[in-house]
Amino acid sequence: MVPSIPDVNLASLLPEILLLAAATATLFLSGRDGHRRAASWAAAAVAASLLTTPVLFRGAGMEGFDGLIVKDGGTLLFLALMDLAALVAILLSRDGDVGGRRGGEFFSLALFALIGMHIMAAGRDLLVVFLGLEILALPLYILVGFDRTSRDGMEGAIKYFLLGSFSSALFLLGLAFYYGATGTTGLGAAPRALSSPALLFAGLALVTVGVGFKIAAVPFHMWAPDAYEGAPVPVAAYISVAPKIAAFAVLVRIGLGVTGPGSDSLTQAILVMSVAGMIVGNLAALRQAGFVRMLAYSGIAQAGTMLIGLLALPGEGRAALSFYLLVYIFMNLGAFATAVALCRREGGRLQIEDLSGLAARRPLLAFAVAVFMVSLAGLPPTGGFFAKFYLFKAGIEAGYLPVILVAIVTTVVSLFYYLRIVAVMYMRDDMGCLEIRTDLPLLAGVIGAAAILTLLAGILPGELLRGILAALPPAIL
Amino acid sequence: MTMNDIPLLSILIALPLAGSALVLLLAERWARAVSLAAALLTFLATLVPLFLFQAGDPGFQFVEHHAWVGALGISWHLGIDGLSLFLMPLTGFLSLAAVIVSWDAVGQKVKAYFVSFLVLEAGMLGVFAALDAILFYVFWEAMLIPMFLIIGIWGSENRRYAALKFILYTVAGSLFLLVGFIVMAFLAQSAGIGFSFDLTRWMAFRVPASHQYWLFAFFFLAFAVKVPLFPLHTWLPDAHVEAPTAGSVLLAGVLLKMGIYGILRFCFPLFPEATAFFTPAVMTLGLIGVIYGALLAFAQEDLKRLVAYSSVSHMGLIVVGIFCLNLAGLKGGIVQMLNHGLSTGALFILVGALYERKKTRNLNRLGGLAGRTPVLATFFVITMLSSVGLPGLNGFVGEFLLLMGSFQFAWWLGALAATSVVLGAVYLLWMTQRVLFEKDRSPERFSGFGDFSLRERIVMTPMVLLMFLIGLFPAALTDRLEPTAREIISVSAPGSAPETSPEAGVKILMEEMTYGPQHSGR
Repeated sequence: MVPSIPDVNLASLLPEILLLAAATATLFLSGRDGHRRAASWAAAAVAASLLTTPVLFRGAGMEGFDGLIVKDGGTLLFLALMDLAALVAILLSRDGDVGGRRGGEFFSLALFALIGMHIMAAGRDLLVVFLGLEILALPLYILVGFDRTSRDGMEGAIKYFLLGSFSSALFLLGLAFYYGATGTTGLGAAPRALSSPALLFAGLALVTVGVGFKIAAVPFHMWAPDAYEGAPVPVAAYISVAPKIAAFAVLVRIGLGVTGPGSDSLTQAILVMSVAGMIVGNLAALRQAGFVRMLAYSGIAQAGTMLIGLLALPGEGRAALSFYLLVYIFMNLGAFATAVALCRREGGRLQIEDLSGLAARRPLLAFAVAVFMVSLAGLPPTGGFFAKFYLFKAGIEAGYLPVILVAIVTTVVSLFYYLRIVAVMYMRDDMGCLEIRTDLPLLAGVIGAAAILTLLAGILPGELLRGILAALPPAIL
Repeated sequence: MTMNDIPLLSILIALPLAGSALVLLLAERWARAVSLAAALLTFLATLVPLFLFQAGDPGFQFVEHHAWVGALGISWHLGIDGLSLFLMPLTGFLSLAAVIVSWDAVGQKVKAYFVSFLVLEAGMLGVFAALDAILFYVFWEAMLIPMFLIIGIWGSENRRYAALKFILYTVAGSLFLLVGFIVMAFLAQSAGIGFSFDLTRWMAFRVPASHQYWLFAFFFLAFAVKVPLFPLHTWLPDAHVEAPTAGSVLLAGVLLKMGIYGILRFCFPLFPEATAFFTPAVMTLGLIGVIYGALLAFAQEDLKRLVAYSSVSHMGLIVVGIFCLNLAGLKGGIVQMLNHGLSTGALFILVGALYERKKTRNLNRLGGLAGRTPVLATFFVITMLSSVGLPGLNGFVGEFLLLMGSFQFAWWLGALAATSVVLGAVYLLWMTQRVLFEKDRSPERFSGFGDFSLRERIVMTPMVLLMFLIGLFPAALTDRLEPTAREIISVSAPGSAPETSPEAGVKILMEEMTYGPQHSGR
């Protein structure tokens, strides 16, 4: 049998090609001014990729490489979210002075990771998804340990690398099982008469583990606190949001695609991950003294909450999840951005106690932090409330009321640590030993924009929601 | 109605918000004046519905309805009826009083303080005006952060603990309310009304009995925390003691009323069968609150704590009264919400004034103030008597109606509920004796304190006048409340509303006493 020439349709990879060109070019930028220039190039490339989204979306998206790459409305929405998160992370890295003289390499790696995420989210074939996963993972391992003088950075990077490679291996094994069970690596192909559903289930379970690692779903979350805390803060910001979006895109695709006998077991697994994430993340966050470490555990808890969206597939879960991720970009990256602006005078990591008295010194910055914390806690009138509300609604509709009740109880627990930050900033007068960077208008702009968007998403969520619903056609694969 | 063209209620909510924005933008020295202007304007605006309200209409008036989050069935739906009619001016009035009371009391972070108060006021007005469940919830929760800050920043020593306790208790309750709301919307959908959070639509269908009981429990939990009903009351004394005076005024005067308001607005009309089912349990808790709160009030040395526990007792009585689900009990409950707001708010202002002068709230260190500060003492005695329920003052009207409702329900219930009045009289009179009379027990003599200042007189005079006004002319209130109360009874009764009192003669006599002879011929 002569293989037919595949329908390549390079145009479908336009954003990735743009990013690749920029990633290659920035690699060669170095020297005294290299950092700033590389940041600008990278930001421009990501912005360009973001701008291609509406172009690709015209005519309900497109496919490439014989359907291996698919860019429908839902995928493009996830891609746009990733680009947005990457853009913010790059702007933070620019002002965070990460990378020093090796700025070119730094931003090049960040762009390669973004390409990996794009491919992961757009792949309709598990093999392509795996490719994306690896392209995403390798640069991130390096970025976590980019500061070679930092012991914590090295420790975090090693942990991230070891556990990450392990999870990639599991993914690959799952992929093999999946192929054995279905005779294809494609996710969209209708499951044939299965000879062994157990094999399919094992395959999907392993794939889910591999992807669950990327969103720091319990029990695959062990790497997150160390990697977040060891990494340069902008990198922590990046890995706290962008890979999560890509992983959720894959999980949504799997969740929508698998309807056969494996789907019930898959739902059970996600249910367990969701409940465990909310309980473990929130309880562990209570005891943290470090600001970024607290955000790491909060991220584990938030991932558990977001998994509720996967339970509500093919119902409203996808829209609810997309809305949550959008708001999560604003509030979580906003919180990380404030961590970039605040650094300890004698070096070392930012502690929550350091924020004491911030409201008196920098009222606007303190207000922004308060907005992010209140939104992460899910209280109105912030975007976090509607994000949670929509997820709860989707979850209840799908019949998972007990999971929602767990979410509620853990949300009350989360108030302790989110509001503790507000309390420390506003209700104590002793000044922490903080050095606040004031010479960075761009960083201030990012924080301000994130705070305003977090509030806007809570006051006028309807407009955002309408955009998301317009991008999400009835589930096609 | 022509008034429907003007979005009166939206303006009401926007006024304090605009004020808070202005405070933020202007320099700190303008903060007080701008807040005063905003609070005054808002208060005047809350008076407008009082004059334009159609007294005989049991439905919602001044209704505004716009799409808000259409995809989720949430709308900007506002309106008021007899239940919320008087709570709006009460909120406006007490907020104005709070701003005036805080004029000199706040030294640090003045802008943040007044911004918090104005945002709080907008949230409170929004809660009373919202007819969409999620809108209600947003306002309900949006109040928490300002109150959290007010207690936590400007409170006394243990303020952070109290602030966190306050917000955790409230959110823990209200998140269940949120789930209940979402489930209600799905029930509305399956009833063919469509996925909607519109309260007026919810009232148009009957919630299946299988869902009523647990939904009632979810809703009631949130409201019971706010009331606060025993055993969920433990946040209240802490919050009151630690909060600054103005915070206590609004907490006791308005925030506690929201619990009762929520029960009347949501639980009764939506879940009639469950209401009947849970009535014995709720009444038991309410009675425990009445007696236990009063007994705890006896034991307090701190004045604020004493008033806080008296609130637990009084609010318990309101819960008992409204769950009787008869006309007297409901009218009494609604009237008493206002009265309690007025008298407890005033009591907290007086306690705050005392504290400013003597730097202590400890009963064992006060005394003999009547001679030194006659004006303060006069206001104190009148307010205390209003709280006790002396005939001629406002407290009497509410307590009388509440007790009558209880007696109509069952004689033993009335007898137990009446202990609230008896015990209340004892501890309040005793407290007054210790504070105003006897001899001065303060260890070091503060000589440099004077009587009420002009500012304090300006705050207290209208409050005391209102106490007399409501006490002497209660019909102005009760006539407007009656259609709403009847409406609540008719929709809340499973089947036709049966009268519980067996003796018809006693009933007629009591009705004559309550409503005047013109009603008894009915």
